[in-house]
Amino acid sequence: MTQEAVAWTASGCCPLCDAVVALRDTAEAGEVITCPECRSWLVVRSSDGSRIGFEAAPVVEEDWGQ
Amino acid sequence: MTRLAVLTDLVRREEKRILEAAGERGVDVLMLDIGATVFDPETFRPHFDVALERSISTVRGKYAVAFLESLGVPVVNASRTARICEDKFLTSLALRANGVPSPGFAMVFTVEQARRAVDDLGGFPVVVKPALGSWGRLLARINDQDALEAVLEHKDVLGTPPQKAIYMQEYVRKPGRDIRAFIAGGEAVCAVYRESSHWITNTARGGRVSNCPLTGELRKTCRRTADAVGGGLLAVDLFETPGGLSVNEVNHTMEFKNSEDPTGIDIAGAVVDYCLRAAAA
Repeated sequence: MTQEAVAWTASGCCPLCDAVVALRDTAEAGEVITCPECRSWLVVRSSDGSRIGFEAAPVVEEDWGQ
Repeated sequence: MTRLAVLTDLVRREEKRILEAAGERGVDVLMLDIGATVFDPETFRPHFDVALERSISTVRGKYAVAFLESLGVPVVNASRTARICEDKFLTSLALRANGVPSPGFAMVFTVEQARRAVDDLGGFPVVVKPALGSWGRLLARINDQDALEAVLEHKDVLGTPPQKAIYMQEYVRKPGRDIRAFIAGGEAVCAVYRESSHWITNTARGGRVSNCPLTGELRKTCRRTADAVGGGLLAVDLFETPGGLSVNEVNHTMEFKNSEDPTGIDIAGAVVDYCLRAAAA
């Protein structure tokens, strides 16, 4: 499975606070963004036309880094 | 046209810059989500010429790279380089074996061993780091015996098995900054100073970044460091000491988002160019 560039100006709901989160067309699937309402980190996961799916970003793991 | 697979899980600013740089070069990019791919050699078909490992997770990246290499796909960085760079102890051993100047170090597993290592490293302070870790997390500057015992007891009681392998390093007094140099194919591309009033200068911990000129000594040290760890795309952290440059750590999935502006160098472009060379090799 591959990630697709999310080439739209669209919106979805924050899974934590239910706020509407809009994104510009430069967003990429897998990108981490910040919910403008609750400041949670969200991952862009899917799109269905103008609708975006978000997930809460995973917490930092011990093996994360460079 | 060369097709480049970028192995990711979370897409950071760096991955977006790599996408931009690939687009500028007319390179076809496949973003391969490690968290959504089944790495089964019976079913996976690599429809790309070269892969760039950009996973935020060292463990995921390691297995994805090993898998693709088993299929004969060139991967940047190669598993040999990653295996050394992901582990600070293995990095120190490789640097020492190749005569690259670096701080004194030791691996210990108990408080008693640690006490002896402190003496061998020239006394307090010493630095304790996780052998596997990044972003300046869980680093401890140990100033005395009490702190040494406390930190090691916490690791022993609360830590996972990898955290109970104690990498100890000589504490290097640096002039309020260190150097991060970016290497592609053995040659330094650019470098930055990371300044902080804190002894930890990682930009992830708030270190400020400014351009660092590439001197002859810095270029030479980068070349020798790349040779020591197997080459590829590397970010090398160095200390300035009275005796010359000393290599602290080597990173194999470099983060560079804070370094392109101060250096004026297209690091993402250098990353893509190196991948194209790896595909053609």
